Amino acid sequence: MSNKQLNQVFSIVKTFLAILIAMVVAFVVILIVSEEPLEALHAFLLGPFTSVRRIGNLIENTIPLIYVGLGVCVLWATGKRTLSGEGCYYFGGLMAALASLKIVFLHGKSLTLVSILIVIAVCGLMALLPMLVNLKYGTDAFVVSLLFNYVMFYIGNYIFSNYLMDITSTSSGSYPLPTDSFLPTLIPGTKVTANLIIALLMIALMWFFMYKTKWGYSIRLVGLNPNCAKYVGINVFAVCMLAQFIGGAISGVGGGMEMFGRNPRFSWFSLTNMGWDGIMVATLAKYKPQYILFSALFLGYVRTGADIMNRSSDVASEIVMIIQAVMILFIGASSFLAHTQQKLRVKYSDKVRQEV
Amino acid sequence: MGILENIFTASFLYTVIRVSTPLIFASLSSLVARKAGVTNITIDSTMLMSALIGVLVSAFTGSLWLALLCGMLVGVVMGIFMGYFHIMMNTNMILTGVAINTFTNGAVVMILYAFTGDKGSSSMIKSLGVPGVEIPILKNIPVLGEILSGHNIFTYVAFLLVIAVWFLMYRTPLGLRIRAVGENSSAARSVGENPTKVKLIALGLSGFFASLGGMYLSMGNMQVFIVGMTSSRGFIGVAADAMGQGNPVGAMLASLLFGCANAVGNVLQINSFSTDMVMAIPYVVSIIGIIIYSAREKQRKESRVKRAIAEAERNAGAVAR
Repeated sequence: MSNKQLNQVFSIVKTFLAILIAMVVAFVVILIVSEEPLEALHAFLLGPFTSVRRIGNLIENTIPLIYVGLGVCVLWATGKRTLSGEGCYYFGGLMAALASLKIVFLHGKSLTLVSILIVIAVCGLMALLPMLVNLKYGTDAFVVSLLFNYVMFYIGNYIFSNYLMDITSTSSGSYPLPTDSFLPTLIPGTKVTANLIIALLMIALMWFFMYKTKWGYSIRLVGLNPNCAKYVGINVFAVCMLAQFIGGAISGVGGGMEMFGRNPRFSWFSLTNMGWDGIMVATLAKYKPQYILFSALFLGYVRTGADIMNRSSDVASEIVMIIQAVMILFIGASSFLAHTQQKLRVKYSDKVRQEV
Repeated sequence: MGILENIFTASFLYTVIRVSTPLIFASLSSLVARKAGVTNITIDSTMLMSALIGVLVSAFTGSLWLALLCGMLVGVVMGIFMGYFHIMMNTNMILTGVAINTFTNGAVVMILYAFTGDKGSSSMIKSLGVPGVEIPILKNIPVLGEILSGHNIFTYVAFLLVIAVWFLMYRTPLGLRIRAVGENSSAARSVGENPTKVKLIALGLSGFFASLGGMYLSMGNMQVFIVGMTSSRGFIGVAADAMGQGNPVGAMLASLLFGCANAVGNVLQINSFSTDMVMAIPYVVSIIGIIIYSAREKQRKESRVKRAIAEAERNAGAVAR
């Protein structure tokens, strides 16, 4: 086995071991807190597949995770880690609601298209700021993006409460979003819209962009070694900005799409935490767009299962957060199993040496 | 001008100090960690966990001291836990932070639910609180007494800790070690220091400060635990520390600025103004502050390099002659 193969095998083994450890932790917690642990487990593991509506829930939960996961893949690809996805997801939802409510001369699908284009432009530009000051002045991009998310939220909340809030309605939120701009529903009886197809196309598109185009290659090279990238003549500044723009735009689209079929009104009164979730999805997928579908599906599945368990048994749905946390800790831990891997590496190289 | 009248009063300044207290704890917590080279983003969740443990222990044992002790212990343990994964297991700092935050936000609800049967707050059980104190002579001075006296004990502890942290960082061997490890851990290792140990101590301290901030919220400011009661104060602490540029007094002043914006926001809200723009101000100010600081730092570094090059050229010229 070559070193490369060994790395690949360990990467997969580590991921599955992390998931296994997380699930075992969850089972132990369920056994401790529940009076009827078997029923809770049943609801948790099989619940998402028991009806069309629940499968619909599972897919609905998965779609935004795909977008934010892809967003983090690109945002982090240049090696500089920012949190812009969180603010962009919120702002994307807000801009989509704002555009579809305030643009009166467009109707139907053209309104949807224009709204999404606005979201792409606004969120892409918003995501540039933390990277811009990082490249220009050496400011910590992570801290600035963390702070800037709050600025985005308060600006957004100002727009929401002054221009969109429907105070006459009993359900708190914006004015009802125009239903003719909603995307067509794919599975009757659920809120699974054509958004699913767009999300899947996005995965393919981002894979193509990152691995088959010059720009994607540049982004990855800057991530691997910025000095080398500079030396071979890549414009590091432009590449970093491009990655931020695309990452921010994808996260924003994820939020915006929620306003075209899933929610009848815009009703986000705080940041959504989806940016942080995107980090989990992307980490689980090893920051590779082609694996995002699986990691988003997995997270969507445990969340839906936990929701159902919450409703049908005495275990709180917050257990899903414990699962996610344990998973991320072990996947992220570089030293986890590193010793075993090193031992195997030495063994194989000894064997090769003897053969030579 | 009803708003200005509401702002320029003693009770307004009293409120500023009250709402700044948890921010001061959080910024000190961030400061100690950042001096050791770690950006601690788990402060918020550490505060939340300590707030909960303090309330639960005080409610079930009836002992305030035990509750405070357990709360602090939980804070220290969480700091060291973060250090263990970040430093010894080589997990990326942000990932460690995300994982611990997620874990805590889930665990807090589960623990609360297990002990009180409620998923939102601890109002079902009766917990203890730390009282406020009147400062003997100060309280009789007309305006000053109104502003500075009668705060919770935690508030006075916070301001004393600012001085203590300054002393710790700049006047004790441990502070020197923490700063050395944070600036260049290889250099610190080369002179026989153990960076892992020092970082773990710093993160333990960071967790300790965060725990005080959390317990102020649930046992000082209020006597009840509410899920999400920290409302990102831990992150604001990180911002305040970044704005204070690593100086405890600066961090305190930045915290007071955040607290001030918060209090102004409250006043505006009462006068039915939009609070959002006011709430955004501290973030904008701190972003600008951080940018100016790092731009100056960069410029200084560049001019130093230029000077060194010029000097080297001069020396080389002298040798050639």
